Parts: sequence; structure tokens; C-alpha cells
Amino acid sequence: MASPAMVTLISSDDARFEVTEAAATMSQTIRHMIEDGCTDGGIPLPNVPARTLAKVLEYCNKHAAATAAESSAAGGAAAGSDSGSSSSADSAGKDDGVDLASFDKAFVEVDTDTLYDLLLAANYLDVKTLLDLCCQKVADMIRGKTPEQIRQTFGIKNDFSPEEEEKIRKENQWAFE
Amino acid sequence: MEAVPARDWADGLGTDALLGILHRLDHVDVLTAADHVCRSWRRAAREEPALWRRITMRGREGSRAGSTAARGGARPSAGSTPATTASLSTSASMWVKENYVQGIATMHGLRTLQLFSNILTNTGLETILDNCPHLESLDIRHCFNVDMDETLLLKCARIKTLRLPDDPTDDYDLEVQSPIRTYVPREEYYMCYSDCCYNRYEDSEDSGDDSDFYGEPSRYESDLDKYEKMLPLSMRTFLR
Repeated sequence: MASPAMVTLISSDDARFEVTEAAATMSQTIRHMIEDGCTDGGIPLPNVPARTLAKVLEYCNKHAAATAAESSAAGGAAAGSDSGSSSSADSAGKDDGVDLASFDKAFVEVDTDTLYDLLLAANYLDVKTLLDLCCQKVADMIRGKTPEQIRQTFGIKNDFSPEEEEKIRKENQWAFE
Repeated sequence: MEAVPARDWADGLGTDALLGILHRLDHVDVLTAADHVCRSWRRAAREEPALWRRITMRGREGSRAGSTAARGGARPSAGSTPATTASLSTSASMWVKENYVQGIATMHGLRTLQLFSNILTNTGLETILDNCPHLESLDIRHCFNVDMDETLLLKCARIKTLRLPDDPTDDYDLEVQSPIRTYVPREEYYMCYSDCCYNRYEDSEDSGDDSDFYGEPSRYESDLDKYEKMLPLSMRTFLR
């Protein structure tokens, strides 16, 4: 098997990351840069610091590997000697010792600062599944909370003027009756 | 050591990411919480038409917040791309009869409407049909206050996908987390409901909201606790 094509990514603080093209191109932003031939000497990602990029790449490597395992499992299914009932997703999961869903769940079990960084990076790098994952996590953290609890969770300052507060209070008086 | 700027959940996320989050919330959560967090979030919640293209408030319209959410679809700033799908299911719409019908009726671009187990009446349905000319799909299963008379059948003739109150609910597409999935409709509630309340409800059609404030016992077993807290003693017999 030929060694996979590699690309080099350069974080905002000049750290270099060598990753497979399959993992890197989970980012549409990077995919476009590769397609445009802007890869000589590495791909600069001026908006993403090393700490965050490492985390994003952990996600991309995992998912790219799972996708690869899935397609090879599907390809080799006919010749497979083990119990033929196991689906391709199962085999991919077994290979990694943990299935993707629980990987994803654990992946966003992070502090709000890290979650924020991931969200921004996923948005900038255009890694759709990661962005979805982060947005879902934030939404889960918001659900059922009062505005004040949400502010506390995310360190948001209440910037409404007293007049606006009063307007909101009137608007929603009944909601908390 | 990298310099990390402070995380600004209010203004730093950008509209796209913020909307990505808001889109994953129930509209009641958006309107009663996210909307009140700070100016940025409020702006995103209020001024993004896409957020209001599909309105889902399953089991939440019994609160007045639900009626605001229903009206939310009609907020002027969303006028350019109005709600095209609304899905409401409820066993406890007590406050919102007039409000949500009016709310829905202002969504002139609405194409899909699901009102599951709602207190919707003939008048309400006519209002909606008259004001939502693009409606293609209408699902009013378990809306037992609606009597499909000739007027309604005529108005519904243009609806491509029509599900009527008595249609089977096997394929009701509840989200996994919705509590209504576990509710078991009990036949005796229907009976009790029609015997004791339906006529009364119809009689008081024009007498304002107060008369039917308690006039809608839940048809679902799981709501009993809630109703026991809310209903006067005299009404509780309807639930048993």
C-alpha cells in the first residue's frame, strides 16, 4: 500500500503539523487551498493557534481513519473470514477500540474556552461535522437555562440598558408566571 | 506561550456560528432565554429569518411562551423569508387559542403545518386556510375540536397532503426526545372529552378566552399530574 499523501499545516504561532491529506481535506478551507496549489512550504492557518489546531486535527485524523476503515471494510467484506454480520461501521469502531459517536461525545467534553476555540476553528476551517458537533454541544449547554445562567456559563456580560431590560421583562412577564 | 485573547461568546462567534447554535434550540428556548442574554444574541435571534423558517414547539405551546413563539414566526423582520414550516403539538394549549391561530395566520408563506392534538377549532382552521394560501401539507391529527364539514373540506381541497383528526398516528414523526412519544391516548378520554367538554366548548365559541381556559382536559395519561395542579376540583372528574 502506497504511503498516503501528506500535507503540512502551519498554525498561527508557527507550529508545523504533518497530516494525511485525507484528514486535512475534511476542512473545506484547506481542501480549496490544496486544489489551488497553495501547499508549497506548508499551508498557513493564521487564525488557528497550535493548541486548537492539534485538537481539530485529532478530530480529523480520527474521522478520516474511520472513513478509510469503513471503505476498506466494505471493500474487503466479500473476503472477510470473521463473522460476516458485522457492519462496516462496526469494524471501523472495533479497529479504534471506540466508536465514533462516543469519541465525538467525549471530544466536546471540554471547558468553555476550548469549546469556543474549537467552534471558531471549525467555522474558519469549514469542517462541517465538527462545527455541527460544537454547535450542538453549546445548544445542549443552553437548553433549559435562564438568561442569567447562560451568561454565567459563557461569561457573557449583560449589555442591555435598564430601559431594554424593562422592555424584555414586560415582554416576557407571563412566561415565568 | 501563545497569547490567547479573551473568549467573547457575545460578539466573537460571528453570526453564522451563533445561528448554528440557535438553530439547534427549541424556539421557546430561543425566545425566553437566548434572546435575553445580550444584545448580540438578541439581534441574531430576532433578525435571522432562517431561524423562523421552521418553527417547532412540541409540547411547549401550553405556556404563553409558546404563543410568542408562534407569533415569532410573524415578526416583521422575518417577513422576507417567512416561516414555511410550523410544527406544533400539544395536549395543553389553554392560553393560546386565539394567539397562535393569529400567529400562524400571519405566516402567509407557510407550506407545512402540523398541529398535533391541538385545541384548534373549525374557525381557527378556516382562518389559517384563508391566510396561508401556499399551504401544501396539513396535519391536524388528534385535533378533535375540528369537525371536517363541507366548508372545511372545500377549503382543504387544494392541500396536497392532508391528515385529518381521526387518521392513524402510527407514522407521527416525533423526535426521539419528545415526551409525547410515550403518551398513550386512552379511548375513555376521548369519550369523556366529547361528552363533557366538546359541546360546552362549541357553545362558548364567541365568548372569549376565559370560558375555555380550563375547558381542555388532556387526552394523555402522562399529563394528569400537571392538570391536577391546575384544575379546580370540579373539573378533575373529567380526567378520570
